[in-house]
Amino acid sequence: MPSQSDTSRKSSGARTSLRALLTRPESTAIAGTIAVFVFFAIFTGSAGFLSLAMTRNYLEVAATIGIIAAPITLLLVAGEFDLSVGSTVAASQVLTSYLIVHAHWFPVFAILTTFVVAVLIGLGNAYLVVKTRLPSFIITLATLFIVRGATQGALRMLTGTSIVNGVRAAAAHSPAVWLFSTPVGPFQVSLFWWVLITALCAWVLQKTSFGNWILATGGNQAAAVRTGIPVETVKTILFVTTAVAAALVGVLDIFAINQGDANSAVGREFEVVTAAVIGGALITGGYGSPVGTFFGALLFGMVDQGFFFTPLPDVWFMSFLGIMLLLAVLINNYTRNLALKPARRS
Amino acid sequence: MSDQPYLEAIGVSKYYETVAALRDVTIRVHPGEVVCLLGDNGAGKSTLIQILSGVVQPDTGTVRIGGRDVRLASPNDAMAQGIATVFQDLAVVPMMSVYRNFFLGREPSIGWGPFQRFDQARAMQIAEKELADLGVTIDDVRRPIGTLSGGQRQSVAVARAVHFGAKVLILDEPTSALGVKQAEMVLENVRRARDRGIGVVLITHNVHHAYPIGDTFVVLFLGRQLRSLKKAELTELQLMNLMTGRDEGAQPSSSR
Repeated sequence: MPSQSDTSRKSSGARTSLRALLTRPESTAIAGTIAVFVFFAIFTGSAGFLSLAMTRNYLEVAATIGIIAAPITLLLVAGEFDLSVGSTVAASQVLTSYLIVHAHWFPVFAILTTFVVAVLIGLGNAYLVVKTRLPSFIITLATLFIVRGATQGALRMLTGTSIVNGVRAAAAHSPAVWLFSTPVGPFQVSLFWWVLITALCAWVLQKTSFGNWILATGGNQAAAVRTGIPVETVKTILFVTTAVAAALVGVLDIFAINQGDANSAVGREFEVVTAAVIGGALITGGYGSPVGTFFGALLFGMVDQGFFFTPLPDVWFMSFLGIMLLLAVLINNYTRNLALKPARRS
Repeated sequence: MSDQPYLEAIGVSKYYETVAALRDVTIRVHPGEVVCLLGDNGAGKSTLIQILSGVVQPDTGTVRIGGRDVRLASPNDAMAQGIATVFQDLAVVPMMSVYRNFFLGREPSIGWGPFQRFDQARAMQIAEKELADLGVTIDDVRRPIGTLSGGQRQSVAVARAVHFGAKVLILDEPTSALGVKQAEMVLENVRRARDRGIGVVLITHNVHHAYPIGDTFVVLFLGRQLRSLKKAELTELQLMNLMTGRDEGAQPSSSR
């Protein structure tokens, strides 16, 4: 008897781990990324998709999405949403570039001030969501409009335009900007921020106690509260982290494109959620993977840039993206249900 | 079973508006004793366990732990005193793995300063051992807890409470939603917990589950205490009659 039960335990363990591998949240995004890469490599490789310049382009697009999408994934896992990230990117671009170009601040202080403002935006979102208990979708939709309008309005008032030019020249020789502007080899520095932030978010979610609290906050908030987890603090930290990541993208942008634009990053909030959902995150909380989101962002970048080389007019890009998203969601939904299905037993 | 009760509620009453949800009820739980709390819906069982687990405070009467009068201001307060309540919804996160649920909110950590992290290897090892000690077999503690059967989930909740130092375990209708086999498994967990010297308050309205395992039976009826009897003092049939109010002596017992 013991030997029999031993073997049955072992075989069911092996079955579990195989299933666990196939049903990991990031597997769809990784497979999708490979499929998209192969597709573009075969059909548009000769047109330049495989060139270094092209690779740099789609990695840059992916990074500006992925840097925000990683903390957004944690926020989604905790059961909350943040629609204000696009506006926060624009506000950060404008604030940093205005302080450097027009107010002649040292870049280091301009950047620090921007991060402080981002922390305040995150705290504001968190405070409203936690205190009112209204859906964060609505609260951050309101802050999306408020922040965007304030950015446009303030810059119009101060300079009469919606763009601040000449950031690089004004910030030249400042040692503080090398973190945000120095290319590493052939690639933009944003690529390394993206990898770093993804690794950090994945580590926090999977390897730390705080990660356990994030999963519980979105997975069953009542249970989390009953086991003594400070769910409001968890949410606040994540809203602030998300806003700071958006500010980082804003700061990286102004050195990459040499300007701050009050109308930039419109729709970014949906791009980052798209990356997270392709990466396996559940919009209702409790489930998600920063690594999956990484590949979701990479896939987004490849499609965004690679589509240019296809014979289709680029106005079809949105539809193509929508189909990709739909496919990913359907596959993720299927594998997640498989992973969460009760094991068959006597 | 020792002579000194660990947890006592003496003459407790609780009023909502002018209605007495519980009137002058006394219950004592000794280490290693299984006290079955029986009664129909609305008999006051949930009010009594809410008092014992610190969710509400009694209007009159006292709660004692280890012979000392205490005021259990909150569930955390009760938990700190070794009173662990396993509610029907179990306070688990379905999509999270068994071992993560086991240590939810009390994760063991490893490492230093900012590199401090959740000691997953140790968490898995402890969870496996504690579950095995209670006679629960789960092939993989990394499995989402939502994939377990109701009985297994209940067992995990019991093992968690035992591991975190419960002296008295309050189980709210642990077998009500379970099949025969699953219910037997949960009752086996209760037996093993009792054998380790833990006092158990088992709330149920199933006499067949209560009688074989219980040492003491407290029967509530409309907020009042009908009887508090030792097992030697009654048969299963008498207990059943008592619960359904068919017993001749179904009046508040005078000998509390």
